[in-house]
Amino acid sequence: MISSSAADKADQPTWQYVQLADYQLPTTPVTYSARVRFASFRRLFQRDMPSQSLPLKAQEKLSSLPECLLETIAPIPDWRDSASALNTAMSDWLDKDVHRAPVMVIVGAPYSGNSEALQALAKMQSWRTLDSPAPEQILTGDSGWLSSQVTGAGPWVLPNLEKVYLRHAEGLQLVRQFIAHACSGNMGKVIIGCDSWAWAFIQHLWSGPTPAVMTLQAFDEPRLIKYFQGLINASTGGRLLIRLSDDGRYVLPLPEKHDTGVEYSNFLQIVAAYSRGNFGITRKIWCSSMQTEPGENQQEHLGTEQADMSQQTIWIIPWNQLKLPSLPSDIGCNEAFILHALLLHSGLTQEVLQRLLPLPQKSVLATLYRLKEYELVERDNADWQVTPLGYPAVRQFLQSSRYLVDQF
Amino acid sequence: MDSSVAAAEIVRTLIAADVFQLALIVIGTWLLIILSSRSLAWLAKRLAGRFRFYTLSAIPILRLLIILAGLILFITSVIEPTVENLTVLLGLLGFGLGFAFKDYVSSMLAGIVTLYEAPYRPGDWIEINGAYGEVRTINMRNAEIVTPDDTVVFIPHLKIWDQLIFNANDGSQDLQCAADFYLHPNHDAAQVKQVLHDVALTSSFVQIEKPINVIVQEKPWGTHYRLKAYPVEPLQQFDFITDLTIRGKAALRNRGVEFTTAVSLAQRDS
Repeated sequence: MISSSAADKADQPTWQYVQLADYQLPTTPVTYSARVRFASFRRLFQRDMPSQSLPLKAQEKLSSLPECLLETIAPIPDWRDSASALNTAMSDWLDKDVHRAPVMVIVGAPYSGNSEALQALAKMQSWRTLDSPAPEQILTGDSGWLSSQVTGAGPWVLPNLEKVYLRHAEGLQLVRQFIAHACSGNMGKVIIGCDSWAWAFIQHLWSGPTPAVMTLQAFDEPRLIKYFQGLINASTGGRLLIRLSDDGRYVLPLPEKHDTGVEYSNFLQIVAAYSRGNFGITRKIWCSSMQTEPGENQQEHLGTEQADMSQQTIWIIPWNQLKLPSLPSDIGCNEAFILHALLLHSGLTQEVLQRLLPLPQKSVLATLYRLKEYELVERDNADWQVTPLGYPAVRQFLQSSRYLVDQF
Repeated sequence: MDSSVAAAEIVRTLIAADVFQLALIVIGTWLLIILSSRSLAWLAKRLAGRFRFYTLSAIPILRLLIILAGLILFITSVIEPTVENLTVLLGLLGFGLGFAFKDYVSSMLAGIVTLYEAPYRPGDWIEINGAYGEVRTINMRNAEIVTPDDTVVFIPHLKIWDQLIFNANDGSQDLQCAADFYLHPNHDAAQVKQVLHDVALTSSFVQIEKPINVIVQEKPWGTHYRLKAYPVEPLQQFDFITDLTIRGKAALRNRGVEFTTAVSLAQRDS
């Protein structure tokens, strides 16, 4: 049977926004905790590249799923679902007088789709969104950025508060002004989206009234099962089997009539715990763990209604064989500074990064490319960002090194 | 049995003892000390945070335990450990060592006291007699500290009896740093205080969960600002102060705040 907690929580909504204090991290299986501790102990004796990075022989018979198939069975979410849930959760706040509660902050962990959900909500409700200022405007404290946009009453939506400040002595003035202006009620209702890392930092620089804060509830095992099963049911009619490649245990539940005597894996519980309920990271891990046998082309079957899907199986790489980015054992403060700055700002260009860090230009570039080799950062257009798959390891490293981390 | 007879008996027993066995005990103890010290020091280098401190602190304690065990083995190998024998042996040792190695023994006793009172531990940043550095090792007789100039200073433990010991982090990773700014008195002090606070808050080195303080004092020659904050790692303290100073000066210059100097005061006086 699937875990009892998963069965108990089957009725809970997939997308649910809650008060910050009500956020609950997914539970961690005991076997997983023990494995993590053993791995961190073993890492003390590793010299350079961890053995995780080596190709696994057992996986040679399997290959990754084609992109088109991934987009069918694990697509990027329709953020309107999340936006609808947010709209419902905010209804009480929206009914309140603007001067009593002018600001609502929606805090979300990186890759959790916070900004996308807010943009979808603004579009659904025809609310106006505020563009973020350019880095030069932030450093010069150019308040014209806001006054040129705010004309008329709200509600206003600022999806990325993390793009309104820079961790620089000159980079805090604008965000203070903005929060103060929004909290005064003069803009009308303001919904502010903020990355959880930036929010952790902004709380140290803002000493005014604390606005109401909400967040997307963590994606625990029951939610993940419900979500991924729903997608597979919708795209294949539930005829796709998801099993672990090592022992064949099922990852997603079978229909009730076939459910007797079937053994289930706690793979999704481990993924939920590892990603700390972060949907974006869970989805990335889910996609990278799905494998298929060469020659077995599910895409063809998916397009053929007459095809017999009952035998189609997607094999999931077991958690202990999954190749996830990890940090080099000789990681130093240069790497920590860069990773921390990227997370606090939800990505930065190399030029801005150099202005914020006490490191020489050559060192910043060399460290970025070193981290890229380890798949811990990637370049998205001009911005450097921490990769979703590398994020859990980076967060753990920064936390153990006593840097400021988010609360998710 | 009077004491002279007992002493003669002990000496006879010492001569008759198995020299090979005694040598084995001494070498074994020495090897164990070296092995435990090096392996724990190696492990500490690979650990972060409080675990590094715990591991480093375990080195002198483990060494003391090994020495005690070796000593007990040694004594029981050469004499029968009766109260009389032990009293005489300790008396002989005390008499001999008391004159010849008074300071040495005092340092060793102080070394044992340091393990209990812990005025400094490996990983602490201490200042004794003007020498400031990180405690690298605590030996039986002395402590080794490494100064910021990468010079090793050996400090006998007996200093704890009569010297002031300044411990900057006292077994934790929280070490306060201060950057000084000397400004011309004609400025907006509240604004400067806020600017300096932001300078610390935006430093990559800062331990943000610890308090940031700006102390302002008016002096005859100008205004003295002392920006106090904690780095993430005590090892980063000098880089942290440098970062605060460079960025603090830049931020103050941007706002047109003037710095006070000895030359400008001299010019003003003339």
